[in-house]
Amino acid sequence: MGSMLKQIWLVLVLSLIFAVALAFVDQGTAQRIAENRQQQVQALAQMAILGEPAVGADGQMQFKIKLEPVAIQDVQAAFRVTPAEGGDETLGYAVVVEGIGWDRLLILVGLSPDLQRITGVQIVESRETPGLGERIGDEAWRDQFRKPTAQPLELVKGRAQSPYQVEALTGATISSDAVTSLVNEATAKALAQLK
Amino acid sequence: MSVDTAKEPQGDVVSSGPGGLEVQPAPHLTDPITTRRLMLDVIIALIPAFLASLVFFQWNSLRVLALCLIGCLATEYLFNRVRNKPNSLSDLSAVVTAIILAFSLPPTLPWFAVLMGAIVAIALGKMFFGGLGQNIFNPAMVGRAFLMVTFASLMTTWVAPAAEPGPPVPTDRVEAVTAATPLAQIKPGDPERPLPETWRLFVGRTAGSLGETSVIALLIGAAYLLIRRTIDWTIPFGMLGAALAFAAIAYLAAPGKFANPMFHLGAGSLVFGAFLIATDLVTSPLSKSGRVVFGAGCGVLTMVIRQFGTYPEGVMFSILMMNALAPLIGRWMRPTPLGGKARG
Amino acid sequence: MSEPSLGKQFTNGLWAENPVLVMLIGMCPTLAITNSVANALTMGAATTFVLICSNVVISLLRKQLQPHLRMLVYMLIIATFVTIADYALQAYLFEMSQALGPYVPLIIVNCIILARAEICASKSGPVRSFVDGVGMGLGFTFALTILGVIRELLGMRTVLSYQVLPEAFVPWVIMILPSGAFLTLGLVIGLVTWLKTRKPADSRQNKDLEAAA
Repeated sequence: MGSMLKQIWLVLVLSLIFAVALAFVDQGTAQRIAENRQQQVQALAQMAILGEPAVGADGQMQFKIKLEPVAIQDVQAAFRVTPAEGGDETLGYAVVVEGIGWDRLLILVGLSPDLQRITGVQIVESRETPGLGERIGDEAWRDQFRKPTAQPLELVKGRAQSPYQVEALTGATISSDAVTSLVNEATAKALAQLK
Repeated sequence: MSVDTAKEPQGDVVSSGPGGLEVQPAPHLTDPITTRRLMLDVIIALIPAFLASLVFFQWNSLRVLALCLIGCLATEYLFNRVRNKPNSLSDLSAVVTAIILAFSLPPTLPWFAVLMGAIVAIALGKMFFGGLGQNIFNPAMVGRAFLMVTFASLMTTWVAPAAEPGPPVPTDRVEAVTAATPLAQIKPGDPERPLPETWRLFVGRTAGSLGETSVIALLIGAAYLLIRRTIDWTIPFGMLGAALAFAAIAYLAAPGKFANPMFHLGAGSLVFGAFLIATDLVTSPLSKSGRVVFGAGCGVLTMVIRQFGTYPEGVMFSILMMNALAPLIGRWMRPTPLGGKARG
Repeated sequence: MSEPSLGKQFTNGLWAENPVLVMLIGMCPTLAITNSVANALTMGAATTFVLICSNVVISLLRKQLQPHLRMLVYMLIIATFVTIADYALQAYLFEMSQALGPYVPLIIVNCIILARAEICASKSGPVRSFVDGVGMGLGFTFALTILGVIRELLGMRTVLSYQVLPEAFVPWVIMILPSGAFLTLGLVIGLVTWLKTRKPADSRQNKDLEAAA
């Protein structure tokens, strides 16, 4: 009986010590982790809207834009993009949407201030097949999405015929299709809800 | 790897008593059919298809075949040397693997990829398992699958065959003309070129891998094998029958969406796979009924991959998948022992 | 049972009983994240940290632990240190932690840590447990790095993102896919087994050598 009590106390005390230790670690890192997440999105948004990378020559993050959350329903996140050095001018909108390619896929769509054009598409998170689906990360391919938003984009195999068509990556149709439908979803929701 | 204990060569003699009466381990019935003869037959059967590929792809056909032979034979030799095993080059199985691999590759594949496929085919597909007779998967298809994953884009770059009627193709610059294979053309969304007429598929004047293009040449070889009884009708019958039935049902259900069965028969490597790859004795079940099921599985899987998968051609993967199932089919449908009663 | 010297305890993990290449445990991270050297090094470092800390703490507590409760306490300790490692990575090596994905939290179920807790830390003093943790951790990192170098070099032409192989070399895509991990691991284990069985074979007969090859 005595040893039983001792065991219970041992586990309780250990749990308490570890919980306190973890609480301290969490205190110490939570802010940094949140900043990291924020910076990642901010860097991608800058790339999608201004077309300029946020990492300077010295490897430090330097942002020309600020993000200000706006409300769009059923998307991961949406931001109004404003200049970093003050001013309330809208540079564009960034919408983050989540979907499924071969696995979880998270992309960011940059839109012009008047929502009439897609300014860029960035991959936030993807786990597609290397060598095939992972090529959705290729800049040349993603540049195809910089098109007007008047019509939904259509994925085609082979050559694109109209301004609203996007050429699929050979051997990566499913991944290309996932990105295209996510872009359409993001623009449709932004158009419907930001007007 | 405890591979060596199971299979000692036939020279393993059990001596009983001082009298020196020697008893060989079973089987005691012998048959004049040797591995070497079987393999020689297969090689002979592949000659017409090789000649056809020479006509269509010329120097490239020779180049790919030579590289495959070098890679396969050298790998087999090296493995035997390192493991102090008797040399198995003379059973010609490595030569057959090399030819089948070569026939399944695009004619313009760069030399390093061809060599790598050949080395992987023998090393990974056969020798790692302990040599001929112990491999689970068809070695040539292992090599090709490796290449397909490793060099996906090189493996799907095809050239139009030379001797093309109509606008003359400069024959010294065949490499420059890339073309989609007939199967790639029927994939949704690539309707630019009209499909080649079915007769062309059978003669072989279409883009594709070395050996798969000319169905007629392949059928000549297959007929030879059937007459020599090197292969029997079960697997080809099962595979072609199932594939055609599947294609026919799909075609009747939605003629606009799916190509007709004769197209599927002529295009790609269905005939090649049915007669020459799936019939590999080592990696298919033993019993007749088992082989029919095996072939039918290959046929259905091929059509499923062709019509619903991302890859245009499914023969390789379907055969590999059925190879994996072959032991299971073998357990399910045991062969009748010689002299035993046929089971109901 | 006589205890080996501390030096031996250390080299044990590096080579003689290398967790990945000889004992074949901890396969999940080995196969999943070795497609680049940076991944392999980070995963190795995180695991080593957890291994050392949990070994030392368990060793300190070993006298108090009753058999039926020990697993519970092990998991408690390991989970704590893994969470610390995970937070630290997210805070200071954010991109790396994104690349490793769920595999950092999964260190909790890495067999190596539980095995060392059971085999070594619960039976020996903190110094020996510490040395054992360092040895095993480095052995794990070493194995992961070998795989990472081979796979990144052949699959992407680079090592630690510096291009090593010329542009003319066509990358072997299979090497950065899971199947490449299995192939490389199999070949490396074969090589290590061959190297390990070779030495005694010199004095004996050549038969063993062939069997191993």
